[in-house]
Amino acid sequence: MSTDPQRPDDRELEDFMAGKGPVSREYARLDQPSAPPQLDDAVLRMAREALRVKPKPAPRWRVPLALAATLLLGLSTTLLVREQRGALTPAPTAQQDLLPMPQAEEEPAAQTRAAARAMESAGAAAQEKRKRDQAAPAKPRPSVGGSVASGALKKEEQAMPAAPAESMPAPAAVPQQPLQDAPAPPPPAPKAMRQAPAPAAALMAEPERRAYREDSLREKDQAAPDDRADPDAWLARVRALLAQKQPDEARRQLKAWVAAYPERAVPDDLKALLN
Amino acid sequence: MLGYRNGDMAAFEMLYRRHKDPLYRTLLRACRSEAQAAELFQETWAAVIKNRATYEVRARFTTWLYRIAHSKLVDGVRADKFDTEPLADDAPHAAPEHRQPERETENAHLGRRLQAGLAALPAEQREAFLLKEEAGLSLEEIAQAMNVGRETIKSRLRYALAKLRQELVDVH
Repeated sequence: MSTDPQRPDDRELEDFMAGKGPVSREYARLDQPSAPPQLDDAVLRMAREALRVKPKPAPRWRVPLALAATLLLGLSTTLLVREQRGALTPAPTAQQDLLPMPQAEEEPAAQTRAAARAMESAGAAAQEKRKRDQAAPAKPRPSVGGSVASGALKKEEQAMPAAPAESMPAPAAVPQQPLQDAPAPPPPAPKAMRQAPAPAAALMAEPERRAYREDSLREKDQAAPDDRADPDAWLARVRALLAQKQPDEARRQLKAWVAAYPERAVPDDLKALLN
Repeated sequence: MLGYRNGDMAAFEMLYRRHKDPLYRTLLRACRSEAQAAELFQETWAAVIKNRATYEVRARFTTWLYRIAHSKLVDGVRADKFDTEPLADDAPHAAPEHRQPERETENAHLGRRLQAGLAALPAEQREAFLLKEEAGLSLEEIAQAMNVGRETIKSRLRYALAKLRQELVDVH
């Protein structure tokens, strides 16, 4: 035991906890008051009253239920997000993200979607494609223009053999058209793009993306029966192709235009294209 | 307690009679007022009765009971219902008024000094001392009841014992 009465002592504590030591002895000698009887009555009455009223069941189920609900909600949200991610990678949307619209291009969104549909249904007969494209957008247009356009399209297809859609040039044609904005793309790339446009486009290298963009523009241009039905719009398309530095394509379109509208004179600024 | 939880009133009565007096004395010497001790006593048992449905055998019932009592004591102090500040050393002890000693013997004198020393302790040291002496709790159980660490309880008890021992030494 410490000689300093003020300094705590571990030994003293041990004795105290064991019930030994002078403090414990003196404490045990103290008067030991009991709880008054009225307190006993009050408490026991409370206890009896509590038994008369049925106790509410311990809400222990609430926590597991809340956990289960949380897990279910999280799982549902995860599955929903995954489904939406899968649904958010359609071909047209990716294409639209990649393709800048030319200034002179007045392609409505419906025509863009028509071009995309043409790309997606690879292997369909060219004639069926032509009819579908003519039928869908040509509904508000006069049938004369539609039929003329189909004739013009026939000629185009002869110039571009074996295209999965009428608006798609043959793979062989791709290298023949110089892409001034980018180096020459590898030949298989455009075909692969057509088969799986959206995801492939998203993963392509830059030159391939540009080629894909050019091809898509081209297909859009060629799958624009509305413009063929409208001679002025068609000429605007030709001019746009020239502005995009696609003289060969512009020439082809102009020739088709001439065949479609023989009664119309070729504008002076485009005459040179035919020579 | 499990018996009472299942509706056995006799089980509660047995439990009550075993613990009522130590609990009463603990509260009486902690707050140094019979009226306040009685109020805390009823509140403690009311909480026991109310929470019987959620009672689980995780620790001794005694520990659980005094943990409730400690929380009621703290609530009372926070509400400024009673004074637990240490008294001056020469202040009269907090013995019940209806139990005044008729003849002052040495033991009685010692007892009075001890009670005075106990009343002069800081509230947390006094409570820790009482939980050992009245409730018979171990260091760990006292720590659980007072919601502090074991070493804190040891420290409080060391200082309490040193002061109380000094009271006894001074008598001699």
